Amino acid sequence: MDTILLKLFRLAILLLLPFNMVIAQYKTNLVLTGESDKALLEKMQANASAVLTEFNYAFAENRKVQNQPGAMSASAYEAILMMWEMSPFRCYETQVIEKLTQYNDNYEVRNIPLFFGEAPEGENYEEVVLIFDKSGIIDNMYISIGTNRVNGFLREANSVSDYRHRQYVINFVENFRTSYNRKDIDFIEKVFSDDALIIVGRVVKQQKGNNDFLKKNLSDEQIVYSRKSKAQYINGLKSVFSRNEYLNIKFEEIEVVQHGLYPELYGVTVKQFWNTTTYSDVGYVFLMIDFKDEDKPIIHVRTWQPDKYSDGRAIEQSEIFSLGDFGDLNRE
Amino acid sequence: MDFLKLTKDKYLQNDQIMKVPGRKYDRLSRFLRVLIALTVFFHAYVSAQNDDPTELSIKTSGLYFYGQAIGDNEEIAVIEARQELVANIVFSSQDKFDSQLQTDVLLQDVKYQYLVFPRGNRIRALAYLLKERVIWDAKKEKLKIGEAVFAEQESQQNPSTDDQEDLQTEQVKSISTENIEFEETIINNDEAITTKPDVDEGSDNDNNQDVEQVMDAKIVKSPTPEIISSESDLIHFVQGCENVNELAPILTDMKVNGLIQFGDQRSMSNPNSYYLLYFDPNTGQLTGFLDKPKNEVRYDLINKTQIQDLSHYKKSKLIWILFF
Repeated sequence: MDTILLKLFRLAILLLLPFNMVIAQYKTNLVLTGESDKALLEKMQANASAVLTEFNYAFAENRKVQNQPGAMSASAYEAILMMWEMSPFRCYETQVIEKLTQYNDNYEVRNIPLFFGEAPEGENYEEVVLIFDKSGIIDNMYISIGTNRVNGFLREANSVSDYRHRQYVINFVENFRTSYNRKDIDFIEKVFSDDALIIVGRVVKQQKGNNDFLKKNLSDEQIVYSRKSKAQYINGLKSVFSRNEYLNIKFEEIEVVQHGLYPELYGVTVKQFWNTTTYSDVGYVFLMIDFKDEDKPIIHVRTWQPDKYSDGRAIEQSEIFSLGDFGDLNRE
Repeated sequence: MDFLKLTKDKYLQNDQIMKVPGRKYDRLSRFLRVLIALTVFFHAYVSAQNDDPTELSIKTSGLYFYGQAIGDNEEIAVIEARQELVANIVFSSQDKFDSQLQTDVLLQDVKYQYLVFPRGNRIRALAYLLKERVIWDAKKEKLKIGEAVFAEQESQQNPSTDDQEDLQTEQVKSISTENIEFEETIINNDEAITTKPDVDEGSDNDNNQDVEQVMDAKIVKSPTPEIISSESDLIHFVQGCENVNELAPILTDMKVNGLIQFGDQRSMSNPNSYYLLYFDPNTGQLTGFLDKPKNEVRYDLINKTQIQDLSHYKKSKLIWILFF
């Protein structure tokens, strides 16, 4: 009897072995450091590894990424699916070793390298951030503004609370940026206050008349600004999202300033690289973000300006909108 | 037999005697636990002291300060990584938000080591330093500015052989010198890898810094490779190669472009999905390039023979290649 059981056991092992080997084919293993609760750490490692491995398989098999029950929340899966529809992706490494950081009630792990298959050549690589809830389940994923930018920004913190605020700002900016990449109009609609001031600049040629002095000494271009309502901006975005199959937004040169009188107000200026199937541009985006409710930050102001004039002349630093330009806005 | 029975009976009948083996067992158990703890600690310590710490040991042993950064080139990545390393050293102090302290430490001639890896079309750098090399002023709970000791790496390393020292020197050189030759790096690398304990196939973590990454760490400088974008192109190219050095930039480029993954034996989780490239560890000469198995038989695409037994290549080093 024992011999038969032993044979059956061996047979089961033999049958399972090829299955395990197939499972391991595109496996990505995430090793996390920095959390003292070993059980929670291991759970997060297992969840993230399972999700990253699923990315790899879905990418290789040219199919939609599937939910990993128990490893990620429904909202995280929805966010991932939206990104997937823009461009399938897979993990760039077979092993990733990163530090886990706690903020608020959540945990985050940064610098997860992904390869985006549909992105233009040379722009396939992005780092993403995985957000875990306190039970270790993946609750969100968004594209990072980059290791160095995040490091540099956090290095400038001068206190524990400033450090925490900076974490909030980074997470919001990254999530905001990724909402465009995943065409998440609902999210964008939610984060703009209803009476948000939205300003878009464009370069126009100006008439100089016949004055020789003016012709020589004045630039023949200037930026004119138009104001949009939230509804106008959102409708415009909807149209852009529906026209373009591929859309990628990147933020660089991030600058953050905290308001002197209202410490919950932050001014964020980024250089935005807008790439869609039909159109590309580069410009400066300024956001005035209200962190009064840290879990639900609100954008009061968004401006866009081109980074340079059509003759190639870069826009002056002083011309770029900043918090000081909107300091007198009435706030509720 | 009778003696054993008698002895057992004697113990069973005498409580006092019964306690004796119990005490011995307790002592033995305690001794074993201490021994195991010391062994684990010693292993971790030696691993950390090793000339060639892996990314895994740097990040998980707790014995290092480290900083990680990405750059368009190696120089930028390393400068950024160093800044982050310094910030992390300062952050671990009482004055974690003292920007002046950061600047002061940055200005010191911090002797650190680093690894570099390709990350997409950019470079990832990992700068690291043993924690024991940073001296603290316990009274002031401050880093001793100007007195912080960042010892020369050579003087505090723990080399086991002269050969390893030589390898390490070359490895560091291979990382930091602009005009490196791949030939020198991959072979030296591989030699360096062989000085580490062998790890069973498929094992993931301890000691298993993905050697794909270790390889990557040394092959960031490479001549512009030919454009190879498909499985058949690569097979054709390999068949025309003689030395693994000719292949390294191609493989790196294909990985950067998301076409393949590659690694060595220790990170080989499913051999049946991989092409296997074998080469002589001393000369880099290709000794075999095996197709994925069909009915458990592989075909050597270089030597044009069927291979049933991989022990044929036991003297060779292996790189696996997985196509996406």
